[in-house]
Amino acid sequence: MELLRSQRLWYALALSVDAHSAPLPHGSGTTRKDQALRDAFEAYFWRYERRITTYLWRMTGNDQSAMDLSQETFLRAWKHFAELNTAAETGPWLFKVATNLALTYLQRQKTLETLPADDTLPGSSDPGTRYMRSEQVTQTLRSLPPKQRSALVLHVVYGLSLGEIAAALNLTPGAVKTTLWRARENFRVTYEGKDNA
Amino acid sequence: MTPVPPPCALGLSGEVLSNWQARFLPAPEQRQIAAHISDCAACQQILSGYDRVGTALHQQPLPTLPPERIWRSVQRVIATGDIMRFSARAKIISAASVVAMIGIVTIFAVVLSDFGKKHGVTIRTTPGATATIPLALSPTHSIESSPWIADHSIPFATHFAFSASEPATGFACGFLNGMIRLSVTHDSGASWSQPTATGIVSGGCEVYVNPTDSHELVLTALRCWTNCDLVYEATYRSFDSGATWIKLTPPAGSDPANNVPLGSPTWAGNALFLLVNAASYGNFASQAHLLAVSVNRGALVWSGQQGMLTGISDPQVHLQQGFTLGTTYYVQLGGMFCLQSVCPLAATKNNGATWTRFTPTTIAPNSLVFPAADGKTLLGSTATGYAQSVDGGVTWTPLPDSPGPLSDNPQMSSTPDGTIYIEQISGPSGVPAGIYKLSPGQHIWTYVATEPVFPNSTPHQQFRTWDANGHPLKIWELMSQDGGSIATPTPPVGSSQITWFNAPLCGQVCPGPQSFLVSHSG
Repeated sequence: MELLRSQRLWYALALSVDAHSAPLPHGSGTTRKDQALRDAFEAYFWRYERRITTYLWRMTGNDQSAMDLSQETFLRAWKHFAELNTAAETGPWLFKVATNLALTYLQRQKTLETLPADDTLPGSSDPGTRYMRSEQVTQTLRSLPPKQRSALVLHVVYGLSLGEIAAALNLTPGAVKTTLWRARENFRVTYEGKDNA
Repeated sequence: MTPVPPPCALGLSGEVLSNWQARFLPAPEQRQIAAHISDCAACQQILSGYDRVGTALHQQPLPTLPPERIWRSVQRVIATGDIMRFSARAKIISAASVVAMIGIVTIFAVVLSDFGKKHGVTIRTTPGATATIPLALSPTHSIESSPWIADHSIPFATHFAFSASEPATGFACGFLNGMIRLSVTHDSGASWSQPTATGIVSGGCEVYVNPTDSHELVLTALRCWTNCDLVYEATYRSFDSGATWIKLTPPAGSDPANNVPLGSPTWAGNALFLLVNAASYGNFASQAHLLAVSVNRGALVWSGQQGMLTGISDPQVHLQQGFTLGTTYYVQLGGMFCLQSVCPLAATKNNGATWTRFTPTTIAPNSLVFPAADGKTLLGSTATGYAQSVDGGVTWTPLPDSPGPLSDNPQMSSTPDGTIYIEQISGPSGVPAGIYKLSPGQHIWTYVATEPVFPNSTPHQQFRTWDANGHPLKIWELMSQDGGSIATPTPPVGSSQITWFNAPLCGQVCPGPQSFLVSHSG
């Protein structure tokens, strides 16, 4: 027997705040409405954090930068949180914010012509994930142009739709199709080249 | 060398196939290409390349980036307005570490130097020498609550089920590269086959195995896969271990454009039962549930909206409470949550032709009833603890009181040797939440283990079954490390399961599923 999905969702949402009990800071002047908003934001954070942070890690290939950009993404979400309809699926909106931040970050990295120091390469902070295949995938992703990387990851890993990816990347749907196809081809050729090396 | 297939008769380009796999094309074109691909080796070769891309991305292990640190940092910025970057912190920590290390080395050198002067020993250093630290490879690692071990990973899967008749055989399904795919294990989950395409282009899935025939599967497929709304698209059945699938017919009068939530498919004797929420079909206003029965592999026969159980007037059935004990199929009446009154039971021994209705005594209003693994006993909860019935649910005998307060829907399970397990959601001081067991002949519940927690408290879903063949007890769990994919294993050998959550859902079909079989011996 299994709990029906809707029931699971209910339980999950009910328990989600308990699982991460640190409250948002608030002063004595905090109104009940403010606190409700902060509580809702806390649940919102835990609902999306993992997806956003792992996406940014895949985009940047860097632990600290992924955490920085994730922090920034959620701070921007907080800034607009009162206007967000959190009852609706706002994941694509968050991905759009995260994508903009990641593309800006990558552009800056390119401008500076610097790569992360070796001690911050992906996975180095976590021995458990530091093995060859991870490095191959990471390096292959890094070899893709940022928009190809983003389109590929957003669609294949996070399941965003054509329209959602177009919005996130500020591209037309037609351009997204081409970008995704090129990303697939480039990834395949590079990855299988590494695999056969 | 890979043989070069003959060119595609339709001249489809890689870009078109990429768009097809992404489901970016209009529906008629999607269908046309889907029909073409099965006979086109050139297209299959291109698509298999894209499959490998998807597989590589989904199998990419992820780092442990502590979400609680990000959360604390977000809180701090909101409170103070001062942003402190993790990268900056890392540099500070790194610099501090270097300073500290230099200090330690200096002190050590002074001590050694002094030691050498006193004892005439020469200390030599080797420039560039490095230490090798043995690394533990993911995903086999200890869980934070130490007794739990992540044994095996199923990289793409969001759901799995083991066969009761062949306990080493299991099936896992998941959405990968535009299609539901299926993996098989014949060694209790230690290794899984490469995911094979089912031809079902839906977003999510659950798979179930006939407890008496490991070749018969039911797969419930979800239509939605981005803006998820907790609904199913269709149900499929296979009699050849997933090689071919038959789409099951929905009830007459239903709107095929509407999704179809299903309760768990359940086999009893030579029948397959499906419980369906009628209202979910869009054309039906009632919240009553429909029951479908397929006898001897025949077509599904659907009940009417009213009087779905012959001779039973109760309009509502607890949707997920259809279960089998021996060859008797039970449903629990009283509607979705069954919280307001003692929920009656209805049972059929003749594939739904006739039903017996009765209201159990002793068990609590909110009690759900579970079949024990021995095929004879039913388990339920009372106001203060738990109870069991050995006469099909007519009378109940209380079990020792629970260690702490019960949850709204207390979950119970058992193994064939008669050991009963409960999940204690929360307890008073000194009674930890976790899993407790009652061994045969014992009078107190024994604490088994705490709820396993994934490294760094990654949000995830937890669903648990008890391997009734396990001696010592082996507890399986399917978890998701990437966003909390929904995953619900089916009990391997007829026992029920314990299910709970400790993380928010990420939506119906979550990105990047990474499932683990987690075991605990105790």
